[in-house]
Amino acid sequence: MRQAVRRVAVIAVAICCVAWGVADSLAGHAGDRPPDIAGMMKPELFPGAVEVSEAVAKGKPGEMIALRGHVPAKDGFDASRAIFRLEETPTADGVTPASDRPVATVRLVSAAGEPLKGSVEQQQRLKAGAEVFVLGTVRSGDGKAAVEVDAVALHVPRGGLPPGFFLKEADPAAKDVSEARTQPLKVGQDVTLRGRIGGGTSPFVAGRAIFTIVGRALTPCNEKPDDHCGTPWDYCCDSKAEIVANSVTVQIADPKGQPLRTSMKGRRGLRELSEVVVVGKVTAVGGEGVVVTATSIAVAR
Amino acid sequence: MRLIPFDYAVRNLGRSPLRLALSVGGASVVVLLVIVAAGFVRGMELALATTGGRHNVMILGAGSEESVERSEIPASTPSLLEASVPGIRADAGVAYVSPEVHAMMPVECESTGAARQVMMRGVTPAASLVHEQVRIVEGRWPIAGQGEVMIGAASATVLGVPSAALAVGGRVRFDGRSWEIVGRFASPGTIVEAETWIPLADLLAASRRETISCVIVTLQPYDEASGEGAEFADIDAFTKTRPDLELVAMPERDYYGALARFFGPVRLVAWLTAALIATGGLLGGLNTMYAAFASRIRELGTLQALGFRRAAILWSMVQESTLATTAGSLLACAAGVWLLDGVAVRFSMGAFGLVVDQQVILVALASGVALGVAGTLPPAVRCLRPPIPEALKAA
Repeated sequence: MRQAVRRVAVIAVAICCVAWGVADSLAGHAGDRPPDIAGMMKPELFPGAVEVSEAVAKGKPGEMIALRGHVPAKDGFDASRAIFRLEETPTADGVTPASDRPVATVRLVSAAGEPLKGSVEQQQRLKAGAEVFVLGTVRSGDGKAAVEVDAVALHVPRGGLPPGFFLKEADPAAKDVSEARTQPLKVGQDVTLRGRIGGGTSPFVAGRAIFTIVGRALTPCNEKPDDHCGTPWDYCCDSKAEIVANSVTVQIADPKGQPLRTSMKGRRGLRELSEVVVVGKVTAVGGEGVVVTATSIAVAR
Repeated sequence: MRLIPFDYAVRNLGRSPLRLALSVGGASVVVLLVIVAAGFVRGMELALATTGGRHNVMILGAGSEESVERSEIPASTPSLLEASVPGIRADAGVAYVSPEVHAMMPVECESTGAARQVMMRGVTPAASLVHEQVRIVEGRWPIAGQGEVMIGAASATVLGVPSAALAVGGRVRFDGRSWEIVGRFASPGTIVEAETWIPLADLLAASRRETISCVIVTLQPYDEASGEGAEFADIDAFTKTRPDLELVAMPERDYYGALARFFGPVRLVAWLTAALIATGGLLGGLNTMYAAFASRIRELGTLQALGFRRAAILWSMVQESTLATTAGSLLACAAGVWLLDGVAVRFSMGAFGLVVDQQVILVALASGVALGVAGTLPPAVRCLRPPIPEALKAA
């Protein structure tokens, strides 16, 4: 009788082990399904996000970092794990062969730090060529060509900037906005303008690739003695008419002419009073206002 | 620790019906005042928070973000906006774009002679599209050039006249002429209800201006799959591409939310008044309790002699007092719900109703309990301090 009970117990344990194995294997299989990364997606980009090359050079293991780059056109995603690669976004005037570009390997992890399973390709706008902002912890890096990051948050702009949009060097022949505005600008005219981001309390539009730049003829409040204005980029010491006459609105547009659905503030260190050189075309002149659709931008200062 | 039975505290309450009535009545009055303050604050918050459509964006003059009455923008702005921004909601080819003039003007009720400052809103029929909360409950929409106005349901409160004085067919006077009330509208829970609406052209003429105050647009929510619709950023982008118009865009709810912050000090004063009144009530209660407990020192000593610890006796006294104040709080809550909920209050922006909801009731009950506990502890501790022999000999 006891032997029979033992046999039944052994068989029961064996059945349990087999069932557990099957369940485990099924669970492993289920891990190939795309993970739910909606909670990781943030609506705004991470200001001050560094380029991949800077993340590679300066990222130290265990350090929190925000970086941006583009998913390569080929082999950017791991087929079974939530891992993708980010390449340094090439600048228009600094073309580097794809094989020589610094690369960040981004592994998506849960809040508990567990790596997520399943490919994330085509999830939440993550696809080949997409511009991606990553916030995470540096796992490892060689300081030269590659860095590995455990990402806890991502931002994929709905209208990412095209690769090569930013210029490394500002055109020294760029005209100051104030100088350019002394002559009437015409729609369709090619321009290269230099100016400082400002002209209002919020010169950037959150979620759209639009900002305003002001020429040197106007001095921001912080450059005036004994002025302690909290928002010197609004040029509040000057009249609105003067600000309009010495500024242009810069937009980065899609092929339909609509501003890209992404923020500019925080990209490549762009912020209020940053000096930029904009290369583009005048696309609208309404009243005293001028809109320039930019094809490239260099951050001069 | 052996506790004194709860019955003891309950039956003690009945020993002096007059004292019980005073405790309950006093607590009721204090808690009722707390309800008035909380209902005022809550009513104002809710009225400002619910005013404005979820998908509405307000475009007003740069620098006038805190007061649309000061705003002046070109009258051509609505058509420019409609032509420049795709994704504005439209039905049957009519865009949800409402040009408006907001002006505070002295208005007189002709039947009573009462005159006060009233928020006037000059509108076109498009206002009925963007302000979905507004419903015409009587009469019709006013026609431009006919000297007609439409009155909000809370306008009578603002003017301080009976509702019948502003019935359809009645007349009000402003800008030196008489205007007929042809309609009444409701917009429950919002401050819009305290406004008077008149045709835009009439208000432009009455206020002698050529510019409008603002444009309110309703956006078609953006659908990423189809790319249809618009977001606030699209309107914001429009204002940046036309710096010459000196426009600024803000979600309509943010505008009224900012007003709520502007009235923060008023709310603080309301709370402060309630706190001062509650403190007065508490001090009065302390006085009563000192007198009441002082006459029971021998009883408290006897209870200690019977083996009850001081903490158990203190707990029983807290129960006794809290029962009385809680009963008073419940009476105050009942009175608050029946008498105060919805009572209209006039303020500079118009009018809103006092709100006695769950949160206010919770604050009121908590105040009542706090009153009972805080009012009991000091006198009870003092009366329990004497040693048992001394307590037993007390007069």
